[in-house]
Amino acid sequence: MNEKQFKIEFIIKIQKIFWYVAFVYFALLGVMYYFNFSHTHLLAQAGVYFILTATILKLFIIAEQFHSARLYRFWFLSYLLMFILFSTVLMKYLL
Amino acid sequence: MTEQFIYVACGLSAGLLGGYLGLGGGIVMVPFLTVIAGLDIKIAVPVSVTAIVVNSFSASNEYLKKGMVDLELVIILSIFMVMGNITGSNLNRIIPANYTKLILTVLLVYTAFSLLKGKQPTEQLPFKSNKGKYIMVSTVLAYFTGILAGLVGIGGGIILVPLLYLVIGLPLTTARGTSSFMIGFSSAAASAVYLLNGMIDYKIAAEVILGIIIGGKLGGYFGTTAKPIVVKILFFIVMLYLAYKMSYQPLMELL
Repeated sequence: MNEKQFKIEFIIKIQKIFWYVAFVYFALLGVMYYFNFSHTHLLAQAGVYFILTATILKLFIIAEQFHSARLYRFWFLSYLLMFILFSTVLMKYLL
Repeated sequence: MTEQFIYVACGLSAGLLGGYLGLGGGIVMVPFLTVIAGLDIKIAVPVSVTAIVVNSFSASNEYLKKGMVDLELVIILSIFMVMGNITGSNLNRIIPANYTKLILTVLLVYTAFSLLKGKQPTEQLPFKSNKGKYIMVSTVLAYFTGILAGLVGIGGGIILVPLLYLVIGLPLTTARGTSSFMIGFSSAAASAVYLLNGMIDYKIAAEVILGIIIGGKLGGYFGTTAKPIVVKILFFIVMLYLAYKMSYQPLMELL
């Protein structure tokens, strides 16, 4: 792998940010559930969507890192993986 | 209110034990949620796969920092594992709960025994990568691992790590790191299937996720320390007890 072009620290940083955001968000949700706030259910649903979006975003970053490292085969495979992940949505609404 | 604490505690202990013993957490979480919290396995599985995605953020970061994740392998095998997870999570909707419980019981017993007798292979072993040679076999195995993982709500590390270590020939720590990074993608696929089919209980998921976020971090911290044999034996007993509790009723109904 072209180590100079592939910035692994960027992926580490992004994962760390996702972890902190998830921690704060779900801690707040925990408090809201404890005090029976209204609409907490919708916020919890948004939290799950956030987790899945974060995963797709992470994959996009990896794909672009492969691109900048000129590893085009893995760049293509990363987008293929992204397409397969999206296919769950396509399968639900198209079939 | 008590229920809330039970769910957080289930996530916390799954994350803690999973991180400490080098597991993804799902293999502990689903039995905890079904046996201790009394949830139906059809509710526990979607919650578990969603929580595993978050756990993967922190668990894989430690390995990424040390350069112990083979990202090229992650992409290749994840394609097949994600397909397997989509198949498995769709199967979960069809297969009766009793069969799902029995499959998980087999995996629990396997995990318990492998952890107890699991002599950790040393890093000093000559590193011989079979990446090119056995990649086709590995993709097939990754697909079937995905099916199992999506079906019973585990990450699949218990099968993936031996696959990467024994078949591909990665060093053990790299196999663990690669597995923990892959699990994030594959569990996300299973979680998406459950989400789109309205099978995720958001309240329980939010509480379990909070628990696993904290537990996973603590488990990762303690995971680097040596594991006394007492802990292993204790864990072995707990796993067998959970396996018994989970399989008793389905077996009685089937026989």
